[in-house]
Amino acid sequence: MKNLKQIIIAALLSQSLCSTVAFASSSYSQFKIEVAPPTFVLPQFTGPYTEKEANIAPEELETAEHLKSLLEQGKREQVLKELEAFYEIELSVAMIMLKAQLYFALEDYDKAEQAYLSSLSRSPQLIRAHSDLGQLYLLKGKLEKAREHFSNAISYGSQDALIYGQLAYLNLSLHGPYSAISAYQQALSLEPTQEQWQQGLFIALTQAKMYPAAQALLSELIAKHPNDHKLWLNQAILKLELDNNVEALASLEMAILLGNEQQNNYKIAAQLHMQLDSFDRAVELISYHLNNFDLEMNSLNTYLTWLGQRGLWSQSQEILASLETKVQTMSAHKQSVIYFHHALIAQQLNSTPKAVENFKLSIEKNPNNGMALIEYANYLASNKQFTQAETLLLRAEALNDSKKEALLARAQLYVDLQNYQAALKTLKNIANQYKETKGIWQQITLIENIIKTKEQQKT
Amino acid sequence: MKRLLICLPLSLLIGCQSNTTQMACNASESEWYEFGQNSAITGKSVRIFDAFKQQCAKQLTPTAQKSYIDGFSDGLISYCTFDNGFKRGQEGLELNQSCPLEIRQEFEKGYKIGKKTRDEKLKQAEFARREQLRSQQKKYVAPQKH
Repeated sequence: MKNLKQIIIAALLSQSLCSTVAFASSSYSQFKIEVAPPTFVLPQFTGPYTEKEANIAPEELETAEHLKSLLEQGKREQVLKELEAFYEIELSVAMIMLKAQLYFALEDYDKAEQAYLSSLSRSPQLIRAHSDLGQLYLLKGKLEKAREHFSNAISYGSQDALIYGQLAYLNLSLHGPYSAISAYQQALSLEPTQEQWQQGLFIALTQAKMYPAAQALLSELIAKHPNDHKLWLNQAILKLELDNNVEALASLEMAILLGNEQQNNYKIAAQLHMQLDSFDRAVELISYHLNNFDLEMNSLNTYLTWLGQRGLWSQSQEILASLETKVQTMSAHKQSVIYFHHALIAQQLNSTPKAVENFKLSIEKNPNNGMALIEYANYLASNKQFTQAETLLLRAEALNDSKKEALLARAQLYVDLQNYQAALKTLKNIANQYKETKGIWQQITLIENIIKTKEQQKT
Repeated sequence: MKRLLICLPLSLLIGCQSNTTQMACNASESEWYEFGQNSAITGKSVRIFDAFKQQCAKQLTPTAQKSYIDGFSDGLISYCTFDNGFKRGQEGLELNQSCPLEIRQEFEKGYKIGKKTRDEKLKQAEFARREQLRSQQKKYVAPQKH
């Protein structure tokens, strides 16, 4: 019988009885360091007069001079008004381009698009029109079209690093890292100090799993800019990809030391410290994170669960104590989570009245806190208060997030009460609703055998 | 005059009554396109559409201008050729400014050669006329010497 109890308890644990534990365990194995994603930057409005691809017709020179002076006075709307007085076929492509750029600058994107397309219908190889239209589509989120026009601009001879960079960014987003590497390299060769292209190339190389090349690029950059925390973060990413958690942590700590303030990175650093048994630093980072950023319950849950798994109850208490002053100002939902963890700690420290008080407070603050309902039920069951425990578990079953765990806990409760028929019924219910539950059928067979043996003993 | 302008190019229009102007304003996209194309091919200015805009005002269908311009643009591709430029030059007409910059090169080349040819012809004709005049004067002067 004792064996059976152990088996079901093991099953309960293995089937992620506690979602927070499950969350913590799963996040333990998947580190995702936050870095600035590759971005694109729109160029400033420059006007068409420096462009050589589209020429102004001789008969337009006088008008062009007039418009130029208006532009210099910042009278864009007036220039547009004068251009709109012409039929497009009366204007040279250069003038239509001016119109398009003015619409673009004044954020009238639909008219800008129409004017660029009109320019391209007359001069399909106009590099500036392709590159501007690419930017416009990028801005409108039409990534495939943007990619097509950047690609055209390059095909027709653009040697602009920005265009290569944008194409690389789009290739990375739309077609994966391999298609982006060459364009990022081109952009970087034209602008070797541009951070965007360095970051983009690094991301593309890492995603393509070309780690030696990524490391070579990064080493060169770190040697040049040893105080750039973003580079150390990249180094941490690379080391994590290579499963070198010790060096990843060292790089992450360096990034934090140099001023990186991304929340998730504190979490990952703390996680890595926990994994490497450097608990003091982990707790320090956790406290810093919780006290300096908006308190996010998932993180708090995760931290306290990690600490609990390692039996570091006093550290958990320390963390909760540091939040004490803020508790009253928190939402009822957040308060419920905090009382729940207080209860778990009190339970571990055998402080029964405090555990009960905190479980009750947790459920009072959030009657839908499934984990609090289940843990409190387990606590009551261990103190032989089965009826009350069963009621709480039935409540937890009504909540989608905790239904499965509550059912498993109720099955365990019936086993403890030696009510094998009820346990069997509950287990079958779990098997029907959660077919993926590992080991459930073994448990059912075991219970059925016990029932048979009991019946045979009776006869 | 304006009414005449409106009536002439549209093939479907009959006569120049006010109700036909109404029809022109409501002409279909393909009619506007065809009208634009014909206008360009016959070397007319795109600005003839202004008359419609003025006369029809709100009655003009929303797509009329676009269809007309599309037709006109396509017509220009047929019109802006060496031969048409040559013909225009040869006829002693002014250089038509309708052709867009990117396709006007051949047209202008044709126009220059046509104009040169015409100028040559005129020069030759003038020369021939003077020659004739001179020979007549010679004939007239010769008997006096005797």
